[in-house]
Amino acid sequence: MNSSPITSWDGATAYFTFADSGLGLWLSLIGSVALLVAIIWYGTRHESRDFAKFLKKP
Amino acid sequence: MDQQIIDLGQKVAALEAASTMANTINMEIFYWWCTALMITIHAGFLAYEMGASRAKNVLASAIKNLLAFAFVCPTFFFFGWWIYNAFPGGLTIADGASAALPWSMSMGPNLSDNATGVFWAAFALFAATTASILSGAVIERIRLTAFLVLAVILGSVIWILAAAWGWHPSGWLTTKFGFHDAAAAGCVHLIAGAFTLGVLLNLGPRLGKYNADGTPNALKAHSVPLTVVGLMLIIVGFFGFLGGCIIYNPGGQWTNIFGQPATLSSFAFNTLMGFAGGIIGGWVKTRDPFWMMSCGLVGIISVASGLDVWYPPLAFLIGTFTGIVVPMIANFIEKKGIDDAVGAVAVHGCGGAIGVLVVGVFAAGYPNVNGAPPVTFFGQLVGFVVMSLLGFVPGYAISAVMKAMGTLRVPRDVEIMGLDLVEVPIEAYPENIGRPAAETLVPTGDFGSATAVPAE
Repeated sequence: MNSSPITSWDGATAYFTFADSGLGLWLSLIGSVALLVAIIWYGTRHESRDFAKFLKKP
Repeated sequence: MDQQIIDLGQKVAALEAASTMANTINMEIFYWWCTALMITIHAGFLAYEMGASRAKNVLASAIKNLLAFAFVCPTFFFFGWWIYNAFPGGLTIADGASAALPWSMSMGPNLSDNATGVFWAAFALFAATTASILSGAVIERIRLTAFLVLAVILGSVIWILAAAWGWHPSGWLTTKFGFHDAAAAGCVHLIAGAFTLGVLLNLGPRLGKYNADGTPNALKAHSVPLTVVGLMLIIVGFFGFLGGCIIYNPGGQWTNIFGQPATLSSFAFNTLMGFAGGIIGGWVKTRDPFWMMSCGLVGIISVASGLDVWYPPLAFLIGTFTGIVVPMIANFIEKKGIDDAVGAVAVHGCGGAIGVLVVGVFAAGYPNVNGAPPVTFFGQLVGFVVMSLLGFVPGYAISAVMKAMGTLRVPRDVEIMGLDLVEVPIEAYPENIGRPAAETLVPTGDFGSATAVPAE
């Protein structure tokens, strides 16, 4: 995958991956935000299940 | 002759360019190492919280602390840095704030911008520090995910909004009231302490903390030495934190964050004098090494707002006074039924409040820059009230919602058995320190293995 926004270092400014590609930048950003939200949601569920499993133990 | 002048001009231009670049890189290096040192604050909080926990909750406290850092850094990238740049005027969005949006060309590797990344990193570490202040107070009974949500709100929204208002060259508290807080006693410590108080009121005390008549019991830290070392690590990291509070102006004098001239030397004088005073105050009041180190920390916090202007012996006196007073405040809070496991409300909240207010008492009259009013007690009082409310109200309201939803606190039986047993796949002390051993490991002479045998 060619994610470089530059073809030469001469005069380069923002050179991070997908700096010139709206799609790649937005997918990375939205993906990382979604990941954090999903982990909080998953963590809450996982924690509740752990508690329920523990409380059911004889 | 003309050619020599042209050559000389070219050499001077090249020297100027090299000097400018060297200055820029020096600035980057300075904030890079401040940020690195600030990581030590988190090593300290980690040790401190683990030590303050009982043996049954040590690793759960560690996980909570580590994840606070890990969640605050990306969320501070997503919206924290933008909040700081957007809201110095109050709740209206400032011109130029779009450069701090996460899709801006400044928010990533950029050869024309050496500053944004290192400043963002330093502020992200301030944010993580603020969230960690909450972390210690709520150990042993808060649900991990509830804590993470609260840590993100405190670390990536609340404190940085306070910083935009009162720790920014264009912050309205400074431009309208002359608010002076050189090293963030208000927007970091006071805010975090007030937010923590709000959360603690809803979270409630740990089981066994209070008797039926309301008298408190000591739920002893499982490792006081670990807490003391942790506190000393926080102090080491504090030097990075305080370094990050001063502005490196390539080719010019340092300034504080408001643009007033300052020196790193002033920070050095007063940090050490406040620290020493705090330790002595803590020793006079408690004779307890845990509180001596906590009071050393609060000694620094209490002189932080005026770190750039204090006469060092005055900083020493302020630190000593605060070191004597803060354990009394912690005692008072405990007697009121609020279980703050590490004294965060007293150390950070009250220490930060004293830091902000004492500038109004002993440092009134210092001039400001860019037409802002001079330092006054009234200006400091306004800052104190605003930051107290900005910390307390969201902390209380959000934790009240979580409490109503049943997502704030772990179930009673889980709390009794300990969070490590229920939530953590490994044991902190497999050799069974502090409880009867079911089995123990003995060396076999084979360096690759050991044999489990029943304990005698």
